[in-house]
Amino acid sequence: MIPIHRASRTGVGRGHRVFGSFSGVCFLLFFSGVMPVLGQIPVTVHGHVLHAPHFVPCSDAAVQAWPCGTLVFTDADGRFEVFCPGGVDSLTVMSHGHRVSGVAVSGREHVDIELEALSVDLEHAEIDGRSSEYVPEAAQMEPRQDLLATLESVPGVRGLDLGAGLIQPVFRGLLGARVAVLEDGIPQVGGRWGADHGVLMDPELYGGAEAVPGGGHVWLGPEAMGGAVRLSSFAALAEDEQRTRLGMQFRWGDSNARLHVLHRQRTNRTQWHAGWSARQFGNRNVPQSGFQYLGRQYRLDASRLPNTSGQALHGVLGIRSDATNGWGSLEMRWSEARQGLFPGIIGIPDQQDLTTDPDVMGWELPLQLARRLQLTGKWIHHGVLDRTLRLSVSRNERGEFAPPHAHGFGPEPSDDLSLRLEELYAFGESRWEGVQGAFGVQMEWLEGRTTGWEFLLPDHTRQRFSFVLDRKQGRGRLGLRLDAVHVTHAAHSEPLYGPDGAQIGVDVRTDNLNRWMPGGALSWHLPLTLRPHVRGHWTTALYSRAPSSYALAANGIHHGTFRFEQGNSSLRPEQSLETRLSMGSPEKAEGALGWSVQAFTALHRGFIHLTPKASFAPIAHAGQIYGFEARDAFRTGLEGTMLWGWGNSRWEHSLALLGQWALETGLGLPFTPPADLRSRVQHPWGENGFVAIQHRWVAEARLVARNEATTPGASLWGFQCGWSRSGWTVSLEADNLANVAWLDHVSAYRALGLVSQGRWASLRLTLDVGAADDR
Amino acid sequence: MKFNIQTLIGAGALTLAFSSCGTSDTEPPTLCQAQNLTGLPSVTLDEIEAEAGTSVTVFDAFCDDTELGEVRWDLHSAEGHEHEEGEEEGFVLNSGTDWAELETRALEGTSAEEGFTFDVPLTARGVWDLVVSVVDAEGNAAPDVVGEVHVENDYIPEFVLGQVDGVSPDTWEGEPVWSPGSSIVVSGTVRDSDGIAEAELLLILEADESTVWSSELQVSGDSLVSFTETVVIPADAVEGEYHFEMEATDGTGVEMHTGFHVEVE
Repeated sequence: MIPIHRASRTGVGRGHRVFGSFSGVCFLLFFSGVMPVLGQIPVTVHGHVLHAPHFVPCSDAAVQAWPCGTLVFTDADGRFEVFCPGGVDSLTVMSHGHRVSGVAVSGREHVDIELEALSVDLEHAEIDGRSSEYVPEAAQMEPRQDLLATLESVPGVRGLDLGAGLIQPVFRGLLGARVAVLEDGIPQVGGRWGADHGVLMDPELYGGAEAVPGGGHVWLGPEAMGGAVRLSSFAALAEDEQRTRLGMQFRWGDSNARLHVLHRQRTNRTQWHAGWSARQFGNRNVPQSGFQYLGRQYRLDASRLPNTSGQALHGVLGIRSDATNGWGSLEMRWSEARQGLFPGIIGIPDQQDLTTDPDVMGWELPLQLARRLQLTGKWIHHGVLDRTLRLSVSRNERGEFAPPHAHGFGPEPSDDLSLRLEELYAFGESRWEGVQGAFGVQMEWLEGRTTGWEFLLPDHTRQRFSFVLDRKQGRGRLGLRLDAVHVTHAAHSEPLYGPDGAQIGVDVRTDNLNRWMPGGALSWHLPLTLRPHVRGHWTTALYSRAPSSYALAANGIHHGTFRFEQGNSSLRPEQSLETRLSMGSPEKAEGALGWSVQAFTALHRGFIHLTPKASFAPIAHAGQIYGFEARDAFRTGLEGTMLWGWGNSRWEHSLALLGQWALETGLGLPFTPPADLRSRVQHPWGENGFVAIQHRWVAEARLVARNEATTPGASLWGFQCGWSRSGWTVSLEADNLANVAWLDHVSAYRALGLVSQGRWASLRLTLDVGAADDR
Repeated sequence: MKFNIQTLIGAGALTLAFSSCGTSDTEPPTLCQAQNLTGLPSVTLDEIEAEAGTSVTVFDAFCDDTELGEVRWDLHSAEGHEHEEGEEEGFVLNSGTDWAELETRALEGTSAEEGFTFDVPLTARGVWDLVVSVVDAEGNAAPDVVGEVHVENDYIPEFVLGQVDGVSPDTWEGEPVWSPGSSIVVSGTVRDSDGIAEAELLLILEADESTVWSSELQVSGDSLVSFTETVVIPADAVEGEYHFEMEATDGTGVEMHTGFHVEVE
């Protein structure tokens, strides 16, 4: 019985122990009956116990001699010697982690015995462990033809589209400063409060992108309230090699052409990468012949939005070096977007301003220029606690240039610079991570300077200091972030002129502000398993977010929304309680159904949003004043996907539903996206290709804010086919095949009654090639 | 933690029900024309006649079911845009289009009568749009009401175009398009009761304000001058937006500028 007790203590699997004992006993019974008949039985037997298959001595193995039952243990060399007065007919050998072995002596005095290690075949193994960098709710975004399509590939995420360089992610109806965009953990700024101030990036120049829905993610910062777009840099190549990715694309409709190149190379412990992309696009094609702005009717002669053409350039250069206990990287990114602004964006256009230029690629005043230059460093040191240090500095610039025009009776400006916003930004994070969790500090510093004759926002600063704790608690994860946010902005006033051009006073636009605001987040995340193949997550988060500098200090025409917007310096941090549930079952086999559902509810105390005021702007080319107010709000919604596969064919549906209300009034919050149902059927085309039909149904937007118009629904058909082989990928995609004139409820152009892009088709070619590839 | 989907659905439904408890005035204010008993013109009239150099008052009444907020009068030249789809004003030679008025006034109570008075400058002639906007205290905005103010002017010289390139400008749909190297015959009259001292026609490139063609009309102080001029577009003219400028000065030195936009391509 001794061996069985020892095995029990070792924790060897019960099934194997029983099997081993049973087979050993059978073996003994067989040989104890047969061997005496076969020959002389030795009284002393010696030998070795060895590990199979490499014959390494096995020490401390128990060797029991039969029939007397004497038990001995092997020495360091695996040697044993055992004695039975009546002779030894068989041996039983046991060792921790090995199968029990029974051996017939068969008259031998020296016996070497090999032990086989115990092994278990697993169909499925789950490792319960994660880094604090990992966000279980995140959904991977596949790089598509552009940033807009990349964002919209994830249900519940949309892109607010004002041009290739002017795209803002919209998460569950929230956008701008309520959606964080992070590059390898570094928050991106650049006037993100403005709906027209898009994200300057090209998804092709990143290692990956994912969408994180909801707020309260402690490491993603307080701005990740609606969600976050996380972009990651390039991981280390598996071995010393070079890889180059090339791509080119052309889109009929707005003559949108793009080229990108990305090269990565690893030598020993050092890897570098460099890449750039260039995009040039023409005036946007729209199936529309007229629009309305501030009660004025205008004609569009050539079904194009004049002066919406532009270009965007992006570049990246980085290096990564691995050390014994960690690695470090340095990366520089720069972007520039230059684009004409539709004449209705700045001022009231005359009909002749809307005459279509035969050169669809040219642009003139008004125009927008946006630039970004960012330098990022990251160091990771492995130890008892892994240490991660991130540092980043960046300069962001946005400029709007327009024909000089005076407001009121003031003198006409002498230059074209309507508004320039320059932001200097620094971010630092130090994180320590162990088995049970992570903690760290984050610091950010922003200085914003504004110039130009169209005042919108004063000079301002913003600093944030945060302590973050993220700890494993049982199966769940508890997150805590404590924020201290310091905001300042300068006073600004302008001369006030009378009808005769003489100064009659001072127009005070903003006063000084200098304030500390506390904030933070507390989150609880729990993985759920309802059935073996139905899994998900439950997250509850309580968090707050300090108002943006824009919400505190704006006072002027915001061209991106075509409105006169006023900040409110009395605003305090908004507080939210949010619960999210994510469940899903992956497609298991042919003909089986895969599905996933993500749902959320959120109560917001003092939700800051623009509401129409009972007054008009003091200048002609702006209508009613919209002011930032804090009102309680409730938001809820769900996104679902369903996938059915048979053979290599797939049938996919995705649905996004959202409701958001201001509790005080019962009205909807501004820009609430309507329900959206997407379907796609994909069939294989030869061995390496596919053909797909896709459809998007956008419901009528009826949940609207005060004075916000409802938006009719739309049905849009699309087509896609692709072929790939040996790193080559060719794809053709067409959308809005019926050239439907549809309004996008969340687009800023909606305010002008301008429809979204009409029919387009895009041909894309990419090549991923290694150094050894002779292509 | 035991997951209970029923609890979640119940909590969500409760919160949703709670969210619909909020009520708000969403009824926009209106122009209540029936209460206007002053006899002064209202913005809702088809047309408001005005004479340069005079003062005009437009009178309207505003109503709201709870509380009025603010009214705004926005008077601006009708040149270059329309306010209603299909609105056809015909060809109008406007002068003094820089003139505009903008006034806001706070309103109180559930009904208010307000008059908007403006002085028509002596430089103005043509059609102006008067846009009246009103909001209530909650911020509900009524649809804009747009009226047309037709400004007559006996003070400054007046051009009347008969034919341009063989057709009456009244038949134009949109702005005329001329080609580089082409010749356009323009005929019409210019008159003033004080006599015409100077008159000139010019074609100006809007991009840089350069004059690409001009012609001084033969005048001798008569109160009515007829003209027929051939506008020559240079063969190397830059394509783009141009302005056909017509300028005149009467016998007392009063100047007048008018014209229309031309696309050269």
